[in-house]
Amino acid sequence: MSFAPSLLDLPNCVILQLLQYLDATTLYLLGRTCVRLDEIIRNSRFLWKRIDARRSPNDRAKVVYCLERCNRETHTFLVRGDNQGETLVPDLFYSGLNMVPKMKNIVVLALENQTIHERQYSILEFPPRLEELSLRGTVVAKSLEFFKASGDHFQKLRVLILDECAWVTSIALMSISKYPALEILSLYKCKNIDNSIPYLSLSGHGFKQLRIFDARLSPLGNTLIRSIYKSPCLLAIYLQNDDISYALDHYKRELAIKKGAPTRTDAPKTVDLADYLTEENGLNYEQSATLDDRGLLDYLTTISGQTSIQFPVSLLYLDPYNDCTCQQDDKKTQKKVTSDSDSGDDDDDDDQDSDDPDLSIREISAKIARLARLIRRNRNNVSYGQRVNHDPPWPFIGPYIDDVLRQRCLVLGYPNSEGREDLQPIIDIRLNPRQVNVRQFRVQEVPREIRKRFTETSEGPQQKKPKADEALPGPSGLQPIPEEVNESDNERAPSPPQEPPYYRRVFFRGCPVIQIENLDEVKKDFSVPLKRLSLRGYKKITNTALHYIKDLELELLDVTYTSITKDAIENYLVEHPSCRVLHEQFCTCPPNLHF
Amino acid sequence: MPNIKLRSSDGETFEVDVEIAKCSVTIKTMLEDLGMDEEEEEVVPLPNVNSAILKKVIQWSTYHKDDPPPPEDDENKEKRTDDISSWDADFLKVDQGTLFELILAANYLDIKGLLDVTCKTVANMIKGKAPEEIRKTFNIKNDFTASEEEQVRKENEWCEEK
Repeated sequence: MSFAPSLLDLPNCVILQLLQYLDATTLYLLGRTCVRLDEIIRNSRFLWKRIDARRSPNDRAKVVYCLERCNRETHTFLVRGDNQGETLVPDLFYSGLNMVPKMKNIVVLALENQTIHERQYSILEFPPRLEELSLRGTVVAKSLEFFKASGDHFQKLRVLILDECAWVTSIALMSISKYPALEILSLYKCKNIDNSIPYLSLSGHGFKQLRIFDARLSPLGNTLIRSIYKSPCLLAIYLQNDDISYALDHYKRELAIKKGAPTRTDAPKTVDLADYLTEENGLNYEQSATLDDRGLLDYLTTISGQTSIQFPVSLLYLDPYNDCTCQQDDKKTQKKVTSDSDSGDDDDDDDQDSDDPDLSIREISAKIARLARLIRRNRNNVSYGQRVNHDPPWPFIGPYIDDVLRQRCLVLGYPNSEGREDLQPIIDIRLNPRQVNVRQFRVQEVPREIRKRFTETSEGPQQKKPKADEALPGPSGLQPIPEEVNESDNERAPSPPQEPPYYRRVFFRGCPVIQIENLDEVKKDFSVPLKRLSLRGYKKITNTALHYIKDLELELLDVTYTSITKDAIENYLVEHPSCRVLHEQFCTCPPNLHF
Repeated sequence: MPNIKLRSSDGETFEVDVEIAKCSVTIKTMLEDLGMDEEEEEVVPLPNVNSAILKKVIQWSTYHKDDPPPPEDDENKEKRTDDISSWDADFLKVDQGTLFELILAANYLDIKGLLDVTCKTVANMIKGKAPEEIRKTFNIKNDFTASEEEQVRKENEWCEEK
């Protein structure tokens, strides 16, 4: 090859193809290399439809250059200072934001780490067509009335990010809660938002479309959850205590950087935990009082529902939880989580499990719980008197809906030795739910085969019993089933000496089926779609909290650095096998922190 | 499978599967519009592509022949450059000259997938560099005149005084 072309030998149209892959910062720097590239870049309007100038290096010249490139087709404009409170964006910009025609079509706007000096500046100056707005780290000098009367201003704003805005107070939430389209509100590290009950409870009546409320490292706690738990679309509440958990996360991340896991240039030279346990890193124990078990109490009156609501997509908001990558510790739990994550057609796995002689009672219970879940999910598609799921994943127990008594009931049975047609009930809740507290059903009889199987595999009940017992108390809050409740049952369940009582409890613990029957009865219940909940770092969150939220079908629960114990989580997972629990002894993937 | 013959600028002839050759929209349109009969022993001349590059292009097209068509560009979305497959990354470990020739060939033959991945590779070479480093990497001469430099400096001054 005699002739080797260089970048400048490419025709303009090809160079333009290439430039499409570059962000505004790179375009700006590339334009300063030579005249030809400068002209191409400066004059190609379509390159400047989406202006993302957040990448360093940041200086005023770059920001002004990008502002000048703005045109009527520009829909995205993102700038960020390297440190808080910079003034890269000239004040002129703010006063003209809503007037300059070339700014009018911007729908995604990020002005991060800036200072707005304008007097009496208000969010009303921002283009009303905005769909996403980030003011992360930006200081508004005269902030008292910034959000005042802005409830009707943004009809389309879906994402509002006010991270690290110390000037935002809970008064602002009153206006923000009225934004009709708001789906994501991020108040990460908003230090001066307080738990003002009047403001928060008033704003709780708004947020009609809110999907994600991210108030990590802010002082919001009990009051916030109590105000917004009824929000009809709320899928995720992220809270993290601004004390030792933050310090530890920070420390671990620095450690990871030091190991060279994520590639970052600003890796610290030394990493010492003590360095992070300082006031400066937000080590503030007083704030840990803002969230405790009581904040979650209201979830006792709710059930899960409205699964059709989707997590919103955002350009600016970064969800703190990525897919799990740690895969450590409780392998079995992890496995369950992954294999149960889709609706449960992956029967191959389960058939293998069922051949495994080491099936623990916990696992069996989990299976029952899962089957029950399947029924609940398909509740409306099941006609009465029909057996659900003829080929149940676990061959011994199949859920069975019967209408012999012309009322809903559900039988968990097992096929007799001849075949599968005649299910013998293990749990039969063919009782009128109106009369009996649904939590107080009891096992009619544990068939011998099942019993035998359990005792055989667990080397005798006497040995197994203590283990089961220690798993029982506390967290999931299940009281022992009183023997005398089941009045409609004529004979008592046989209790041979070798049968430990925990069979019954195990089955009930793993049997949210009961709640199916309950659904129609308890009208005061309302359903909430909550899927993700983070309570990271709140030491006052105890096992009781798990009891309060037991009827939510969470897909993610972060209880790292709380007082919740491993046993309690294991019990929780029995009823919620598809929930990903983050905890020191479970999934330890760190959430994304915007340091 | 019927084959087709492609002749490079330096006269070398390559026989390729028609399906592979049709990765190139240019060749595909040529075959369809001109109704070139696949039976005929005709040779498609490609005067803009030399044999070394054509060989690479065929290699790439053979590997990617079963790829689904690339999705339509969504101009609102950021174009990612970090999603180059490892095979492509290995394939593009070539000197700059070859890389730019591949871009030119992909552009001429209208092979969108190859053009995308080569452009991304170059974009990654540009990202994160200061102007002087970019000049060095791509052998670009700073041809701003003194007055133009002055102009830029003045613009900056205007910024500073604010």
